[in-house]
Amino acid sequence: MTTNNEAILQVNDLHITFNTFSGKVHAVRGVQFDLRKGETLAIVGESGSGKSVTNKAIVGILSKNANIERGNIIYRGADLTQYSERQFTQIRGSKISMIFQDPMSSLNPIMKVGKQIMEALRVRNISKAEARQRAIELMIAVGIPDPEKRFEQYPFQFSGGMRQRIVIAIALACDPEVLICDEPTTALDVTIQAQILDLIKQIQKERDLSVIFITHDLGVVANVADRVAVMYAGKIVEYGTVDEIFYNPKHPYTWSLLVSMPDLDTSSSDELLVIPGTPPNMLYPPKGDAFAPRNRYAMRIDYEEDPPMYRVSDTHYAATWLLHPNAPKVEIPDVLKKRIAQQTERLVR
Amino acid sequence: MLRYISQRLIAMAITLFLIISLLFFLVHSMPGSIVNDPMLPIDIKERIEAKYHLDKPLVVQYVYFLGDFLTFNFGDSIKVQPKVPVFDIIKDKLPITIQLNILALLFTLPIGVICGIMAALKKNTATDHGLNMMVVLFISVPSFVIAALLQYIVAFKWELVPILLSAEQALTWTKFKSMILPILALSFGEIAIVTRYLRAELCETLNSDYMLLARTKGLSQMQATLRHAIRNSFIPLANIFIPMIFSILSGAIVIENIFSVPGLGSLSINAINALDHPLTIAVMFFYSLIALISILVVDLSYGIIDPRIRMGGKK
Amino acid sequence: MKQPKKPFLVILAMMMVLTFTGCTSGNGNNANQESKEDKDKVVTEQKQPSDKPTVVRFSGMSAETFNQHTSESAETSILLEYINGNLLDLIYDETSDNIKFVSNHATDLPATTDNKVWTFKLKEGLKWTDGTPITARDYEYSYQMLLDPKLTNRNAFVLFDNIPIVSANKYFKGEAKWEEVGIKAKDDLTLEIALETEMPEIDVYSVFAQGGSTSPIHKQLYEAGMKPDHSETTYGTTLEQVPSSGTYRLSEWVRDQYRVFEKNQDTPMSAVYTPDRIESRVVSESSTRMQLWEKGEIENVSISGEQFDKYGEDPRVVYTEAESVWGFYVNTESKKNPILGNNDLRKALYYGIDRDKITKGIFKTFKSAPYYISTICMVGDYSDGQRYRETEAAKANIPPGTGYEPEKAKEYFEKAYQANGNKKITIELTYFDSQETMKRTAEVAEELYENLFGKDKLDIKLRAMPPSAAYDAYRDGNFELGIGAITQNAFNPWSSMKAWRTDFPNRSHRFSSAEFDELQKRTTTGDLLLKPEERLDALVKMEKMLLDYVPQIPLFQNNNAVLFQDRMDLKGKGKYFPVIKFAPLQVNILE
Repeated sequence: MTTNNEAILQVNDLHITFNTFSGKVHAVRGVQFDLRKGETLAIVGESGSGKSVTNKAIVGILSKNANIERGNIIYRGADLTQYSERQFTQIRGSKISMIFQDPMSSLNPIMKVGKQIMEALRVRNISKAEARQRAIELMIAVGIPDPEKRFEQYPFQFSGGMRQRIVIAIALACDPEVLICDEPTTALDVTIQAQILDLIKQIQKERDLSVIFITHDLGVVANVADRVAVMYAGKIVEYGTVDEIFYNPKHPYTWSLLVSMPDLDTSSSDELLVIPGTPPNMLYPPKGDAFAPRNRYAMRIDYEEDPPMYRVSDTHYAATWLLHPNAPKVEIPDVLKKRIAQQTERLVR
Repeated sequence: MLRYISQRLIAMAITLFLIISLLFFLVHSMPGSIVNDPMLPIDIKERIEAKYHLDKPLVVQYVYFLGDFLTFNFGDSIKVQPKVPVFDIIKDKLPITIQLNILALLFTLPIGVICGIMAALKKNTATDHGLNMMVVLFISVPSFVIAALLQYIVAFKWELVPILLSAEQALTWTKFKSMILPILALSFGEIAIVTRYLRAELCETLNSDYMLLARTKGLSQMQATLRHAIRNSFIPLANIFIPMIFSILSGAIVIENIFSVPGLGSLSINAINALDHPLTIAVMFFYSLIALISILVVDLSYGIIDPRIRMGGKK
Repeated sequence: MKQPKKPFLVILAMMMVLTFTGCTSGNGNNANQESKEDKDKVVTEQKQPSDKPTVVRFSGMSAETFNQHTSESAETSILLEYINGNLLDLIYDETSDNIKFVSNHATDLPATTDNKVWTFKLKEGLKWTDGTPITARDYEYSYQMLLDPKLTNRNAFVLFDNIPIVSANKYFKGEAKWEEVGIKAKDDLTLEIALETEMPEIDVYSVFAQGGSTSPIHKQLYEAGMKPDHSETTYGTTLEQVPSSGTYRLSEWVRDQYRVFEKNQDTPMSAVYTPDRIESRVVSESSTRMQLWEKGEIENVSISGEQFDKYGEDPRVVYTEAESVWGFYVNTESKKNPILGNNDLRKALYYGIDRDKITKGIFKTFKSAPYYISTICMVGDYSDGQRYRETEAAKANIPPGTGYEPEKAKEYFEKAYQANGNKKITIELTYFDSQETMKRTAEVAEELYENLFGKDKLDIKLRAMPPSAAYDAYRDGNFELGIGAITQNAFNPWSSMKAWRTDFPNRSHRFSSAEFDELQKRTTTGDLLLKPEERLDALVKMEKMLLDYVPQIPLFQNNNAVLFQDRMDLKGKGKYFPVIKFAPLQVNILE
């Protein structure tokens, strides 16, 4: 994977809240990351950790009750948080595109798929004939057999995987630079998942796309990502290259995530570790480290003050007091150690 | 498809027959006589009842009735418009009823649709709350109250339009002016229904994933709404649109009375009150037919407007 | 998505086109002609402003037919008077300030020597509006059709019930040949009517006066409308099938909406009836009528309820006199509630109700009636204008005022209460559910009776029923107390008394008196027919019998208040007469 250091998208100290009947929900609380040209950044986290919200903010499709309280999103020097709807319309699809979790519902059920692909081109004043030509090329590119015939069909005539291919084709229709994949494989069968992941990887390579890959599935992350950001309760708690996160995780939350992930070696007799407790209610964001109540290594300071980002390496940062010079040395849990060892072994072989 | 339609038509014919038979026994079991003046000599009453076989047992009357019914002879009205064939009465009253109701529909649909879209797009804003209040008002206040108020204020106090429907037969400007109030009175409730229904449907579609995808591929909110959301929310709306189109044939009793519209509305009541059984049965037959056809058309139209159902049928 | 869209739109468009063409074709052409005629009229009007046609505009109900043989509603009978001539006519006479029978198609009032055979002489040159002549033979044909056994016309009864024409009833029932019937055209201008019994002239006159069921029918049109089996005719059901033999002709007719009558010049009565054009709109809502009247768009309006509160004091208000007296029928033979057979109880109910609470309190315009015979009924020679209720004998029959005597009522009630074994009396009262005022009448009656006699002693229960079902229940005896009325013949109150006879087929009461029946027979077909004095005595006696027995608790006469426009200068000055009412067509129109 070719990675250069040119960051095309930067998210700085982004705070997003939602107005609801019960009060303000603090969904995103100071998210910060950058996306470089041609890389795949995976954002991992539980449901409700703010990963989808962050990305919706990038594409400008936050729901109406959302407020961007603070921070900015810099895309090629422009701050997207200041963009008007009209300006967003200019970059959506053509510069930044997004695909969604459920291919079953992300296509208009009563419009022929060909037309749905063409639509993305037609709004940019491309002639009908050309749009059709390009749509068929796109369908070929995403691996739809018999595209001429499929062009005239409706979404319900497609299988889940095929639909997701169509969605990808739509997202790619206008050659975007950045593709945001919001859990694109969650709703699919495992075998189909692999195919779609391969397709995304292949397309990324071919088109030199920058991809933000939102998922809660660490297996997927290992498969596609160059870098990983782990999100918890509206914050990024750790980020680094895929190797750093998998082989040298620093944050206790990352540990828990890794431990709770089954792999090929997990036999049915092995107990899968679960993270105790539930994520915090974001109506009342906790003081200090949000993960503290579920963290068995939590210290008193975790309940009092938010940990800063500690630098582990140039590419690896983690927000946990455990990295504070004065903190007691806490070892990676044994289960995880064993796993990492197994992984490394397998890699070596 | 043809097989489906023919099956449905046969079922419809059976339903109609049952409705009409049931109705026959129902209307004939109503108390009273068609000769209801107590001062009339008994000879007159007996002779008239004998003429229409009303003196015979109900089963015998039913046999007579079936004989006529199966040859599509619905007979003449006995009391409401004596000696006039029943379907001529309906035919005579249809034009004005249709004129009024089509104009009401032409007024209702666009306004209802626009209000519904506006309420959905501006959900939970002042516009939405305002429209919601209108909906509640128009649904809860009966149309005849609105009609009487309109007549009193607009026609009587302000003198903007005539109090009664113009007697002209052709649709001229003066006639149209006199039709404005009945049209409004007929429309308000329907507008409210369309608005409420469309708002609910549209709110749901606006939140759907394909709306997000549509926007991420570069459509503006307006384009996405027009091309994707409205089309999709119209499908369930067929459920109320098509019956509305057919209900233009039925008319509204009280509004017709208030504006003196010689429409179909009061015909059924008059026929029932006068014990004019042939007319009652004919009117009910007509309404049942309309209802059954509109149900059939609704079902078939789903196939036309929703590809999922159309294609599903082919598999 | 295009293909499926199209057929739907095409169907929709086709429907719209069809319906619109449906709306305009048919009636459209007609209306165009009409409006063209109207334009011509406007032009002529402008040329001669001096004799501008006078137009009167009325509001009314639907006309079910213009066939006078089958017509039924009050509205239709008014409209039929416009277009139909008859042998005689009944008009308001200014000199006597009374009604007057005059000849119309006949040259004079009919001649008789024995009060059995009546001979009408017809004018020469009588014509339908289309030019077809009208002769005595047309009259004979008309009456033959009216009595036709196959057609079984509803209004046939006028020829055997109002006056007993020889064999008319038999012919109607198919038991006699036409030759046997006492209706003969002796020649083109002579019509002879033979009766089975003698009749006073007013009964004969009133049968042949005013356009209505005894008016001639247009033979060709009547025959043309016949069904092959001669059981029905469509005569009078469309504008083309409505000819005119009277002062006005029907020139426009939109069923249930609008009808216009234009005056025929040079008809026998055209000098009497003044308007040149009558426009009649169907308006069923009383509030709409009131608005039209206030805007000056109709000539008269009936006022009731709130409207009466507004206009009741207006000096222009005139009152009608109803032809019926309403009251609570009593089922004196009730098996479920035998106490109703107790005369004291009925007397108590008669004296114990303050009728004004209902007539003035609820209906506003009605007249409290502690009697059975309406104020409109006339006795003696009609030209004297003697009203039965104004005779001394009739006045002596009833208690003074409105008949409300609470002390007397309580006395009667106590007797009845004792007769009931000092047990609480419970009575069920049936009222008509069709009107709110009827419900309130029942509620007020309940309250008045219970308060007067004590809630511990009397309990009135209310039961709502549609009128026709209620009358059926009365007839079958399935009731205790029930509201109702009988229409009376203003010119022949004796004949209306048949409703109280034991053998009356639709009797709502349970009064049976052989003496009453005998007396009623004598006054209508027997020896008292032509003896005015004795006949009046008999009527007083009959009413007395009713007042003694109380088969019905009489309550009110449903008189209405009417407002006319100032431009309507009625010749009768708002006086109300039987049949001709306010004589609204005998009017000076002030512009």
